[in-house]
Amino acid sequence: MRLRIRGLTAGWTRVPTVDGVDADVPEGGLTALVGPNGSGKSTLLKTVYRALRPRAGRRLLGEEDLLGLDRREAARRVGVLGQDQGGGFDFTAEEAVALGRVPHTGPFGGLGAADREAVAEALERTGCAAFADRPLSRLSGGERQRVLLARALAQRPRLLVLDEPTNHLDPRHQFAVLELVAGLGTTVLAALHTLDLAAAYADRVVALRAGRVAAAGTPAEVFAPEPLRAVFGLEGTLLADPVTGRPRLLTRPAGAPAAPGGSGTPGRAAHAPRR
Amino acid sequence: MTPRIPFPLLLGALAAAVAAAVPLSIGVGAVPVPPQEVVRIVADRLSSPAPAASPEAYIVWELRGPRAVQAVFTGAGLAVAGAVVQALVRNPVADPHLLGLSSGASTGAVLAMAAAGAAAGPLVLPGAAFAGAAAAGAAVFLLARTRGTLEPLRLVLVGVAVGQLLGGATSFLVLRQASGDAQQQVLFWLLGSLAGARWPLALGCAAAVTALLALLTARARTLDALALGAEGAAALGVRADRARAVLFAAAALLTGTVVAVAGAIGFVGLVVPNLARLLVGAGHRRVLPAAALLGALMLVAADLAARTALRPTELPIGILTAVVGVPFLVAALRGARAGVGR
Repeated sequence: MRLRIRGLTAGWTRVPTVDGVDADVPEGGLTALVGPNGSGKSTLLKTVYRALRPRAGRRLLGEEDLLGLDRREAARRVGVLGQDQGGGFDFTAEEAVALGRVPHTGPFGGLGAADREAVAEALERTGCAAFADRPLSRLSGGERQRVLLARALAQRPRLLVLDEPTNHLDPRHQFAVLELVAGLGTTVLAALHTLDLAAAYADRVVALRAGRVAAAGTPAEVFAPEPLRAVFGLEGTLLADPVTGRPRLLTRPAGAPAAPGGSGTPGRAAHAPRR
Repeated sequence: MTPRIPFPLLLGALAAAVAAAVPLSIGVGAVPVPPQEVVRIVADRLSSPAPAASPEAYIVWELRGPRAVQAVFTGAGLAVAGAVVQALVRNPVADPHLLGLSSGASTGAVLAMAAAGAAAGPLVLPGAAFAGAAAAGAAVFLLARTRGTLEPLRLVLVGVAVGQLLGGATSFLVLRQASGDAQQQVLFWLLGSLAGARWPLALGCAAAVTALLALLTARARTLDALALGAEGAAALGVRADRARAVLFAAAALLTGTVVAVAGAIGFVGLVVPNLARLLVGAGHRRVLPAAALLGALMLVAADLAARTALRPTELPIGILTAVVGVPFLVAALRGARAGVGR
């Protein structure tokens, strides 16, 4: 279900971290939220899953304003893979995924048949069923990240919010998580640090800088030389992956000297085909 | 990992162990009474509430019965309060006494002793102890709260600070009184004891503990969600600040109730929840009932040891909870999955 953010202002101190942001997350696609450290990506996501109350602005999921929903209602619509999911308690993978049913269960928290089915399906779709009985402390980083994704899926959300889902993962698992997410068919809003991955998997990219939207559009538009320089201070070349045909982004520091035999025109983007 | 023993079976076994330990413990003492005789006396008494006909009946019903009931509910209450506090501060080595509640109870009791002296009726000291624990809990809550949120680290720091302050106040009051009797009484609050348990207080404690356990068990999923931190909880539709406030109040009432009648018995609130997690995993829907039964069992055993170890002298039970508890913990750690306690 599509998400529209309008005039969103939020932050923890007097100076807002997110300042008057308008952004669109189209239905069914993956929208990547990119930007340098401290640009307001996490803050924006937290207002979407209601861990932070915005000072101004609206978040419309479909036609509903998230502000008008109570917390449980909102948590049934928005599933989250956040950055900090630790705590000193060693849940099993299945227990951790079952927590995704908290917004759906009654006052005593018992799991009904529908809840158990949602948990089993989420474990299955993320490939976690094989280690459902294992405690989180005995899973690898990639497995744990899939468990956290499974929890968000167990919420049966209409919008999936992912805050740096590829953090701490090796390259193979970074691709695995994004392949999985891109193949879900759910509307996804994901903060991504790795621009190349955003280029390869996002249908739409929103770039934040200092709490404001600096660029938004297709990967080809946002990762064009001018926005790349303005937002990230980087030169870049957008290429088409010779095997998959997906856009890939090569980045280099601004003003990097060209090697003899290089094209000498950093930042000239190849026109990448759209997926 | 799923528990090696299926959960209903484990819970049943623990309940059976508590049910067996109580008459056994009641039977042991200066006047031994066989367990089947204990059961008969209790059944007689429950069917016809006539005064005790024999010395054995008097000992079983009036002296050891309330004491055993108090042991069961004190153990269950401390263990569950410990599990809740640990989830609140997201740290499995937290303890209900960490939040200044037992220090408040001691201060309240000592203040009452200083004010009323020997004239204090049987309900005055527990009442004052409960009031002290509640006041300490309220102070910790209000001081730790900033901008409507109860942050775990602040909660622990403020709890420790308030506890130390009250501990100092208690020591000062005791020194001022300087009578051996008062110091004896203070030792009771600091180490805990089930001596002198009587029905009215034991039943009041049992009722309050049962109600709070039911409330907390109903909120087990909220405890799970809080273990993920405020943002993780928010993502699941749980409002962490409000949930923490409710659960802190329930844990404070539970600790206050138990400490008021039995003193600040240590070890149970810290170790039993961890023992329960080793047996049934981290989910609180399982941890809370398992911890309650394990805590009850451990305290009945500790009380038995307190009464018999140096007969006829009775030891404060707080000295023995660790002695009785450590073998439980070692057995569970050795039998548990590798990877716990790393």
